[in-house]
Amino acid sequence: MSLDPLLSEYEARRAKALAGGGEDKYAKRTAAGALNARERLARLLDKDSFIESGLFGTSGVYPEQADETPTDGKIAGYGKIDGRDVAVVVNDFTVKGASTSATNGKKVAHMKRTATERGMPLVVIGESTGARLPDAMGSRGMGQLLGNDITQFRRTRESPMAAAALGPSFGSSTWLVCCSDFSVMQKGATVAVSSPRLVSMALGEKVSAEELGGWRLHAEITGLVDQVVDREDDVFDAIHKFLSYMPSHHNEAPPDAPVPAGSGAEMDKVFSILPESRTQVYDMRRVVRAVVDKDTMFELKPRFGRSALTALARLGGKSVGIVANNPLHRGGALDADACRKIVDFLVLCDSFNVPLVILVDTPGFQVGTDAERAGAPGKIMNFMNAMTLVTVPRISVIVRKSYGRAYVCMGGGRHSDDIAAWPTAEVSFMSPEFATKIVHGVGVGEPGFEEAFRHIRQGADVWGLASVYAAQAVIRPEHTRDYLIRMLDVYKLRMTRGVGQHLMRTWPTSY
Amino acid sequence: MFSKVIVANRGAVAARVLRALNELGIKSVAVYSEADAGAPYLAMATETYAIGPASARESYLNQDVILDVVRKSHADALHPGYGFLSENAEFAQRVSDAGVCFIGPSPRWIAAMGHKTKARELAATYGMPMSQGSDVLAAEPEAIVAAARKIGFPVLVKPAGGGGGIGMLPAKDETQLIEAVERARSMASRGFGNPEVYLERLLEKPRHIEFQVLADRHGNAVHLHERDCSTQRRNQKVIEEAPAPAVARSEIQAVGDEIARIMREMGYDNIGTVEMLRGADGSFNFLEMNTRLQVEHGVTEAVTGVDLVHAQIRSAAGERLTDMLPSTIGLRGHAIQARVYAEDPKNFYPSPGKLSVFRPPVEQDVRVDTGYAEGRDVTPHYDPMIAKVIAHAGTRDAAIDKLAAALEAFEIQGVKNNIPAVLAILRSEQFRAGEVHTGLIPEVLAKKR
Repeated sequence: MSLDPLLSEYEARRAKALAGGGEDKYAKRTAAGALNARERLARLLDKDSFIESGLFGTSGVYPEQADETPTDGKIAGYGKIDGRDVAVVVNDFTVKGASTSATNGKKVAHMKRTATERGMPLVVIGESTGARLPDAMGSRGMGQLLGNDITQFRRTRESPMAAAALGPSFGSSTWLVCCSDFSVMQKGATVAVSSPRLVSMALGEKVSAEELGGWRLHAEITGLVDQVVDREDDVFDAIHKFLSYMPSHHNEAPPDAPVPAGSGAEMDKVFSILPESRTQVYDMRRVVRAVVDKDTMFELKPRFGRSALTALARLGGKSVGIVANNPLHRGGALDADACRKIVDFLVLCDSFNVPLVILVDTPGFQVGTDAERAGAPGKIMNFMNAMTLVTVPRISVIVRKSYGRAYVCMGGGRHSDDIAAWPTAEVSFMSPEFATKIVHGVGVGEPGFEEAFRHIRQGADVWGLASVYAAQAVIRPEHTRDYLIRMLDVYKLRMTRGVGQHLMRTWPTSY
Repeated sequence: MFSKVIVANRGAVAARVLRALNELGIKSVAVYSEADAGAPYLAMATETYAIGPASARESYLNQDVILDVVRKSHADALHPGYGFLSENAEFAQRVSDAGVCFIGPSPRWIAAMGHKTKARELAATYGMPMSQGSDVLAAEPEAIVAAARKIGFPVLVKPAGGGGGIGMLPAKDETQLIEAVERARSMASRGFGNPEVYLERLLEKPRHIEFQVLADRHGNAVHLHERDCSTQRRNQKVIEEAPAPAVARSEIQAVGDEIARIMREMGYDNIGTVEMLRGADGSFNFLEMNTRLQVEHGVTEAVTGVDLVHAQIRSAAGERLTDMLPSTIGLRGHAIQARVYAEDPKNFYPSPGKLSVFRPPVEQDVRVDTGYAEGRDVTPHYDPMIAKVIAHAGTRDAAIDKLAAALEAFEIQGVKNNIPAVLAILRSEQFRAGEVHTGLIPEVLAKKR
């Protein structure tokens, strides 16, 4: 008996599965400028590295839908990015809007389990309509489909997870964006609990997709998305770049990279970035770009809580996490959003063994009714607590101002392994204008203010901090890069080969 | 002279222009939206046309519908009033292209003055006095900071394409700058569809003093003195008066003459208002130019005796200023106007509703311009101004007393109105002393509470 019919059936089924929602649907998307699922997979992974898991999966609820549900709408498998293994799920919107149902749920769960247990990153490329209907309808549907895998959304940060939102990403794609370590969204995509259509049915609220879950909302207001990109291609570049700073799992140090030529070339001019007057502002990103290896600054949540700056980067070829104040926004005063952003970043870096560099220039935490209404004290204490739980090496540099509670949160005292200060540093309990009023009883413009102010300012200069060994060094600004590279080496975790204790690995994925 | 003029507006200004047309013996065409059907001033028009639903976008702002009425009615000129399409260069051009005279300056002036930074640039080339300002701001934060440092703090962020005080935000120092610029950009983008913003030096306790200008199609231009419109709430005028209190006449006269010279040199060719801010240091700074009849024109009419609407129409028809104005334009006494808004006098929120009682005061030397009558509805579709009350007397004190008395006698029921707030201002010591500035209303109302 010939086995040929079996092989032809195999080939026919394989072709059918690879065809997804069919040529017409794929062509339509191509015409609209969107990549198809397998094109995305090719763009994401190293050439020919993909091995698929579940190619022949189809609807697990309605066997008669097998023909309409190739791969059950979610393509899963393993591949390599820059030569390193990853587990991957790419949603295929042409198959029932990549909605979640029984078989694809099992596929996603298996990818997550493998990534977690065998130590490799998980990458999910989302675009989805949410739960599949009628599959999940009714008590039977609910009982069969929802909640049977308690690890589905459990995050204990054993291995890095990156998620992308492309196009409408309701339901699972939104959930995964929220529980990932890095999320990227293409402009035009929607990240929201449910679609504008459902919202208008349920609430009679007419709302556009952009208002409900557009990039501006998530980049500026919710902070749920780490980066926003214009083009679909940029999504994959962002994920590659993010993973390049990360270890494959939390029991190893991040990989080293060659130091790009020209790194440190701007250090001679770094001091000139600071304006002449202490009341003037500047963009801290320029300082960071000058200090870190050339072109390695990878900023997270750049439009959210912008008085803080968080970025992955490399120093001397090693991954570092930069936490800084950016005086360009609110003079660097930290508000509730800025605290959330920093905490998020501290959890990321500590969980994946990325040492921290802290650059300080802040007049303190934002005060006032707006701050209190935003729950600032709670956010500040989360920040404070996170700083006490960090176990990776951390070095802080006081560039200019460091005042009040923010001094401690930004690594003051023993909250850094080592503190260096620029000669421009000023440290005190409160800004000298207010301190002058409180200590000497004279306000701005009143007689005797100038002299009293000078006195208070003097007491805030860098030498006080250095003399009581609260700063371990005072450095020339142009030596900052060399100093940091050396000190990160001094404080490296020799006994655990660069692996920290991950005390925040179960902290929430958003606050 | 024109034989038939269409009035493309509503309310008080429609009534005002229709009255002028009747006085000049010109046939008139009025238009009305569904909300304005049966409005009292429509009876003054020779013909009336319905132009669609209440929403301004579909009626008074709908160029196609209005141009359609222009064609149907065979009018030979169009008066745009103020607001709506009065400063829309594209509309003015379309009216001209239809072979109909647009009663206002040539479209190029409307376009030139409509974009705030371009208007500033243009005025500056003719030597208009102005404070330091920036060009339209670039995207890079560092360029924004540099622009502000050049001007000096505090600065005001202003939309380049807007008006009405919307989207203007102060930044008192560098730490507030980027947020202010970004918020202003997003407000401007939502409000005017143009996110461009620029910076101006923010003046402390500034006064808004504007100069009425009139020009003809033959290269002549004069000013008809100033109006002080400092008393504003949220950058919208509430009380306007002429002459400006507590400023030397010689100072005003010098600025007015300079403006008239600039208008002549530029070749401006109809009615307009040059708005200036006067700083506490006495400097006059160009704010913007309105290329249309102004809401507060009645104040100038009272003190100069010139009918500005007549003059505007005659100038548009090609007459010379020398034929319609006296050789010197004098100033007689003091005039003061209050805008009566259907709004909550405490929080200034609009208060639409039916005017169950609406009885304007009838007194000597008190003029009331309104488009409303008892029983009419104030709808949320349009500006909530329901009347202007203008008092004229020999002295400022007497004019203020007369205006206050007239406002007290104004009977309005059915909607909340701002008369109590206006009376509080008129009676405040600061206002009486002529110490007006654009922040006066919140100051006075805060004291009252």
